[in-house]
Amino acid sequence: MNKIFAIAGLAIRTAVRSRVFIWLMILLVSAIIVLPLILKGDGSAAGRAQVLIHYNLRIIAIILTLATVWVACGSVSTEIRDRHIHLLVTKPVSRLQLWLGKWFGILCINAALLSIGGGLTYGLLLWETREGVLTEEDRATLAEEVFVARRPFYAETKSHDSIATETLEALMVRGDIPENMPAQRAYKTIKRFYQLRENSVLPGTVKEWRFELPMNMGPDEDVILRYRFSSSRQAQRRSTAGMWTAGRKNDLAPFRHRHASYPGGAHQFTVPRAAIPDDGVLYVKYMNAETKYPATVVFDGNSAVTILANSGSFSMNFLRAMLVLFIRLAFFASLGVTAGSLLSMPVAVFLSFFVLSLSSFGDYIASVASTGLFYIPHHPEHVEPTTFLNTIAQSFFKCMNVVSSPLARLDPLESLPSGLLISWAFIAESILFLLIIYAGLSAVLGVGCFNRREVAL
Amino acid sequence: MFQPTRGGVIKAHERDFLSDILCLLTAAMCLWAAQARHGQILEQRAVHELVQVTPLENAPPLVAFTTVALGGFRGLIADLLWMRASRLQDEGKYFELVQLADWITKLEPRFTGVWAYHAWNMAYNVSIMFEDNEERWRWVVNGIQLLRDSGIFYNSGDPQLYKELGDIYKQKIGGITSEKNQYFKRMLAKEMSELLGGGYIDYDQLDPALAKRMIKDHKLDPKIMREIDEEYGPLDWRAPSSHSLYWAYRGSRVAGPGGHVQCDRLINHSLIDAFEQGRILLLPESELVIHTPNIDILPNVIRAYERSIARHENKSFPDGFVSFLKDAIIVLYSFNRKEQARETHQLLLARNPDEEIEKSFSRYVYINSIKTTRAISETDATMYVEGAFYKSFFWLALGEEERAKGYDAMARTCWKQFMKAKTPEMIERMGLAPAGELRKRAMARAMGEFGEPLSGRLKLLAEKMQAEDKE
Repeated sequence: MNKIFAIAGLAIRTAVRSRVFIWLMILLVSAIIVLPLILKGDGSAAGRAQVLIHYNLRIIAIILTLATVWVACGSVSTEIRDRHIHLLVTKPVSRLQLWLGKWFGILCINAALLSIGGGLTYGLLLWETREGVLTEEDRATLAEEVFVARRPFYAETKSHDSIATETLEALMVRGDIPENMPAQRAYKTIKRFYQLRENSVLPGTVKEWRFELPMNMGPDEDVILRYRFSSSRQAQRRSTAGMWTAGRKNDLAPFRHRHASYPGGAHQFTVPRAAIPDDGVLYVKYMNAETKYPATVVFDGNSAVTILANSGSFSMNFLRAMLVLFIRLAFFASLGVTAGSLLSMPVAVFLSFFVLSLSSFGDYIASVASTGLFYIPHHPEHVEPTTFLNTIAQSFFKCMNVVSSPLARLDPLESLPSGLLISWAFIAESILFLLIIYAGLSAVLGVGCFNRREVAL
Repeated sequence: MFQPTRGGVIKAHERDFLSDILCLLTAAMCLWAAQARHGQILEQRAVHELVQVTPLENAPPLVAFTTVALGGFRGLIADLLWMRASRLQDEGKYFELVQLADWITKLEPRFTGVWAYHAWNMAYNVSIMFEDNEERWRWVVNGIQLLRDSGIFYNSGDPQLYKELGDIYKQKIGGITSEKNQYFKRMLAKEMSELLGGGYIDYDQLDPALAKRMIKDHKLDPKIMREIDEEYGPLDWRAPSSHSLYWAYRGSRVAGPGGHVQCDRLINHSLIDAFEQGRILLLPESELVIHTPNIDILPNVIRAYERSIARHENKSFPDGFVSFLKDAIIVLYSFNRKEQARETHQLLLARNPDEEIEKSFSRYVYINSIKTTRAISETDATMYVEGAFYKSFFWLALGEEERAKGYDAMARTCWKQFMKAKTPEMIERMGLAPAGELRKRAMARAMGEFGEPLSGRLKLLAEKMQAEDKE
């Protein structure tokens, strides 16, 4: 272990001596100070705080990620190029210890810089939202919307797998499925039909959701109900009147909320604590009450109706966000050290930046993976409308999506500014994917190949 | 390392210093030569049509840098930002949209459609997602600011953007489609009242500091406002129609002598709005903002329409003019401007010799007041006459005496027109109650329904009227 620490110390000393550490610190502090001066919020105090949290932490993450990749790639490859590695490999130090030492050294630098950046951002946030700067009303809104950590609860969903399978079989027996339509595609279409039917609320009808909330909620802990829907009158941009009720299974009287909302965006309202049963099982009903312009309303997907309940403090949430950012940096450091152990500096940087870009273009990759490069509308006579290029591209993007989706999904900055909880489960998932699987695979590959590499040439 | 020279040796670092100086001088000379040729190169590019758009002239360094340095990549970055904006909007995370819209538009500063889309998206699509009045208004303002403060600044020669901005004032604030339109109208009136100290501007007495603030914060140029007021006014600048007119006027002006069809159409529509509801009554005792017609601008509206008809071969202009004249007659009559209403009726007949328009002025007023040419029942006629008296009391309570008289006259005209065609037997069977009786009923209803301060004022006026009657 001492050997690893010694190499880590050496890596830190090299970084400090090469002024990387100092310059990064100056860059970080400058970014944190300058960024709030050029950022535009939505005009509200809460919006300003959200933009500040998101962009300040995002710029810190970007600077540190780029620097980490650069330093990590150079930590081994430049030592090999300059033949400084001879001094190390001739000592009783294994390649694994060398790899771990370099990686650990970079992690220490990252931990220090991330602490400085995170601390400054948090301080700036408190400074900008202090008493006297904002009105009491704005501060109350901030405390309610931004400086919170709310855990989302989703309703139980019904599986449509068996009914979709049964329907497909029945249709195939009757010969109602076109010959050139693959069974998988037909199955997906049938399943989607049942899902939409389940989630649609026709005019004058009712849909119910069941939520299991914590049983030990405090007496004043109201919850937020957030919902999104689409409507058959979406193109006409008409609002749809609806009546929400919440309470026990057969007693939804405790809470009623009537509201005409527009389809396409997210809406929310507060459900008082009094409406939540002590056993935590909350039933929510929506009645489509639109009479003037009747429209079918669709609550599509598991997250279409969500309950958000307070779960811890913002400061702890902030700390957890920092921890996930650190885990992400640890993965990029491992990637850089591995690439630097196998390749020359420019090639290693190029490869690492390619993986980095995968995490940045997650949305695009996911969209091409699901629809292909070109959108080809479905035509009944051409059941499988596709092109060769599109198939190849889609397959390639599907592979990339497997790698990039955890990187894109495990981003704490998508939740923190909106006051959503970064749970320990999220951290555990980050550790599992980014640290154990991704960084672990990278380490195994890096150390394995590094062991076979002739460095004394 | 040493090197022989005429007097001895020059150290390596001295030689490096000399070469550095030489390089710097060379670079400076190249830079000077490049800037000397820059103007000519730009001219040549324009002559040979090597650029699709003229370079930005008024862009701040950051925008100039991004548009030049990023080259073709800025389209890619704009796409990525746009995808993020769409996703966030879909998820209901609106706080970043202003920043993202700002960056996207700055990356494509000459792309008019991008500015127009983002402003429209914020003012219309995002604003309706909020229940709270204040939050909705904030998003409408965000949309306005994007176009007004940046879009038009970078594309000052594009009339389309002026039209888009004018549309937000006309439709989103001035229109009635949004359920919060009354709040928007109140906020604009309040903002302008605070800025101008009222609705009308005395340009000769305008404080230079205020003029500066108008230009800086609201992009309202007093010189142009004066031109507009002289040509179309006087306008109440607290009304949304004045602002839509201002931006449409500016758009038409930058389009050149031929004008711009959409801006000119917006000018006419804004003038109709100004005529029908371009005067603001702010009740100091309450939050109520009442929009009333600004009938003094009628000749200006007619002139604007006649100019547009002469300028554009577009059928919508003469059709719109006829539609406006039809409504204007009733509005004028309701303001007790009977003579002007009669002249407008004559103008309408003169401009539409082919169309079937009621030739009798009194009959025209009656038909168009009750909105039907068919015979109406006694109940409907009673309802209409009593309603017109009721409106008369409303305007009386607000201190708008001429308008009150107009509605009073309208009620009496309709009463007479209805009773005129009836024989004594029919009057016995289905005649209306005497006009005085209907008026008293309307007064009683108004006293009961108007809240304070209107009912208090009406009570005082009623007492005064009774005293005058006794005298």
